[in-house]
Amino acid sequence: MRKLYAAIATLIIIPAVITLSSIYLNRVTNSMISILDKAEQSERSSDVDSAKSELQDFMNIWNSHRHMLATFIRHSEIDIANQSAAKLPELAVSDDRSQFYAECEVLKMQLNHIEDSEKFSIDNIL
Amino acid sequence: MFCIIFIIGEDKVMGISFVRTIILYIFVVAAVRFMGKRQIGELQPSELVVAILISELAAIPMQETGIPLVSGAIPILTLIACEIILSSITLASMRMRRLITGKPSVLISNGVIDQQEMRRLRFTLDDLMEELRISGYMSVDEVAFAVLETNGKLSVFPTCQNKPVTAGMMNLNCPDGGLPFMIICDGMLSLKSLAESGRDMTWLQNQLSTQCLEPQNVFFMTVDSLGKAIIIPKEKQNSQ
Repeated sequence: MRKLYAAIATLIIIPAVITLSSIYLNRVTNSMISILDKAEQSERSSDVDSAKSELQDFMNIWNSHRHMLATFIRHSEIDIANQSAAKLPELAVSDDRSQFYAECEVLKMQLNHIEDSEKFSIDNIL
Repeated sequence: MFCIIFIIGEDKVMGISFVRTIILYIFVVAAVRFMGKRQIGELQPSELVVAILISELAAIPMQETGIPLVSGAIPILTLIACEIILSSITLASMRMRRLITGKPSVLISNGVIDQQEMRRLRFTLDDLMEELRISGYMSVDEVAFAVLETNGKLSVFPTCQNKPVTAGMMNLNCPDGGLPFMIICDGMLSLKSLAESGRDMTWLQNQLSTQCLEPQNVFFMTVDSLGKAIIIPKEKQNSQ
């Protein structure tokens, strides 16, 4: 009987952990995307210093969470976001702003994709 | 050892695979142990499915270091939990047991092969004869009943003329010694078994002294409830 209770507890704990990880992922990716939006707006208004500061905030959040994200997300997905994130500080100070905007979009899309791929939806189940 | 593996490997993939394999090995062994003895022995259909799936699920994160270990562990845990719940339900409900594990099929009844049932089960005559030979019967006419159990094994019951003679048939009174207690195993004395057998150290020393043995020189010693002791001394090792 103890095994049955343990099995039922497992089937309750697993969805709870998945839900918590989904909430965590949603919160982290949304905060990173909003910072990227701000950095992009600052860059568009030629406020490079603010853009650099916001990118620094983004990098801090990204570096503090990417190890945690790697425990439940495919590492290849993290690597793609990592590569884009590494390019942004240099692109922010370069003359060619279009590349910065493009890289921002790539990173935002990748973060959205990471969030979507973990969502409990029919698309992902099928 | 861990350090050596990490230092030797230029890329750490081999080291990661090594550590992951050990973690998953411990995890799967613990999981199968948790499922219980029944699952380790005779597999029912649902248990076979779980066993195959667990081996596959454990292998993927072992080889693919880019996949999180958790994504292998969660399905394994889920499968085991489902299997335990399902086996508890089948234990409680006869209808569910019939649905999940099926029911035994009689292939030979009163010495007559049920050809329709064999066709339904896709059980060939060769399969039947093979199973009968394994059970020690050369011909179908020696068999009264043959039942294909839900775990795929064939239970064979011989005709009255072919049943082995038992002590009961001969009206013989044979005392039952019960399950023997393992008192010494490879030179190791089990005081717990000795106490459970109702004997003490004095009895043991008397038994061993008849063969001039010490417990550490005994390979195997058992005693049954009738007091019959079997002592096998250790073989002397050849010094080369």
